[in-house]
Amino acid sequence: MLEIRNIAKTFGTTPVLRDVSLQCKGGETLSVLGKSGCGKTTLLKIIAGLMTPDAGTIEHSGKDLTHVPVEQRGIVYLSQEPLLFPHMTAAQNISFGMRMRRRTKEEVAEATDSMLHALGLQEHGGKLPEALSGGQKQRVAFGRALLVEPKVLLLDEPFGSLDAGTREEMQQFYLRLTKTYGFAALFVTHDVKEALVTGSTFARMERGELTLFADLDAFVNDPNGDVAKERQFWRNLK
Amino acid sequence: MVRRLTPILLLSLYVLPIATLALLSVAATWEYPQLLPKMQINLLSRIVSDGVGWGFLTSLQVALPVAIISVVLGFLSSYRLLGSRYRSVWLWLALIPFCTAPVILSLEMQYFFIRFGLTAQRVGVVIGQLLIGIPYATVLFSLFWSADRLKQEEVARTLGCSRLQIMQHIHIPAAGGILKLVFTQLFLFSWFEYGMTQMLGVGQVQTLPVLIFKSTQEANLALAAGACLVLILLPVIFIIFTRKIAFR
Repeated sequence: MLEIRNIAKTFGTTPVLRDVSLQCKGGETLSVLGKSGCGKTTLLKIIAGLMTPDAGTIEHSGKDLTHVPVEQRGIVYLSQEPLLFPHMTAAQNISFGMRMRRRTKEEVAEATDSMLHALGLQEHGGKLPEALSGGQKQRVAFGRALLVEPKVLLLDEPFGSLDAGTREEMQQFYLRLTKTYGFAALFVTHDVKEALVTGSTFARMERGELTLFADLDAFVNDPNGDVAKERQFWRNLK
Repeated sequence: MVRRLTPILLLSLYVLPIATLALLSVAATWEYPQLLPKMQINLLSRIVSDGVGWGFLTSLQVALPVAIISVVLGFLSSYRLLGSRYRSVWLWLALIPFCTAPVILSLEMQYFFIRFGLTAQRVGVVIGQLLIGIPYATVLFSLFWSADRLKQEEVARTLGCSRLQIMQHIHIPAAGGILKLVFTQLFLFSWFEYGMTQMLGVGQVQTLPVLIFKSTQEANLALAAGACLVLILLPVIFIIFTRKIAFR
């Protein structure tokens, strides 16, 4: 289980994260809903180890990860852009993490092949990223992350750059992956519907402060939350 | 007709001067009204023994280290500047060596070269040319390093990659084209450089351009022509080769 306690971060004189604490169990997706600039990306980068917090601790299964180097944390970060390596094919991108861990060629080939099938990309393994669509690129990015068997997956608006149709398709694809691989994930988004579809637990982030909700009802009925505003909008629409 | 003749005309514009050089390099005498000179093939071996061979080796000993060191240090320093708050200031400073001609730059630096015993040494010429080569490579490579490279690096690190692995498996292969391009440009800069080499080498570091100027001044046309041929031969092979790999 991932446990974040009292994380704080300030840029210059501007506090970006204030006393953020959360928990995320294996097989669970914590959806964090928040507007741009509320500190979501900073929180994910601190958990991944790409930024250092001013205060607070990060633990996984009781082990303190606060000062563990990024490459040894086992926490994979996925951003809005797929950020595939442009000189590698889809298959090479997917197998990248395994190859860096010096696994045998047979192991890598078998795992990559099976991941390509799971992603529905078996016919695209030999293609370079430039020949793939936006959705396919994001699938490859997921495959690349999952093949290293991460303890936690951090998703920073991963479907933000996709069109509405592909986005919905990718949300369903994500749910299938969570069932198959059972990883713990933090999914940050500014899209209410996406937060509801992908999350199993919910939180809201505003001006660097994180509010955790006991269940879906509490999240949906939060009077200050975006879900309430969205419902109000549809009610007022004539 | 014009379409057919144009490539032939362009090719002859390039080939004719080279053919003339080849002819001059084996000419013993060429007196009016002879259409062709009296050829003396053993002149070729004399040219080689007169220093063209050594000139070729010296040029190579200067141009290769200049190109390799500039590419390596330029690539690493431009990488180091990625994400730096003072990136634009450093890149602006890197342009300073280009405000003056290489020969003027070497004049300005000559005191230090004499002080450290680097004049009339190949290593001194290499260091002098690196003062231009490294900033040039840094400026060019800065075009390669974008915010996306930094993000790719972050993703790779979370996937368990060390910085060395990232450089080896992500950045260097992705930069293959520009690495070859900058290497070629710097090699050619150093290969054809005359003013700085003459100034810092004080005539003792006899690269091919230095040899050509010297033999022209001495009215040794055969030697000058032979040296010219060798001078352009390698870059031509080089450009044909890099055109195939760098601009595919």
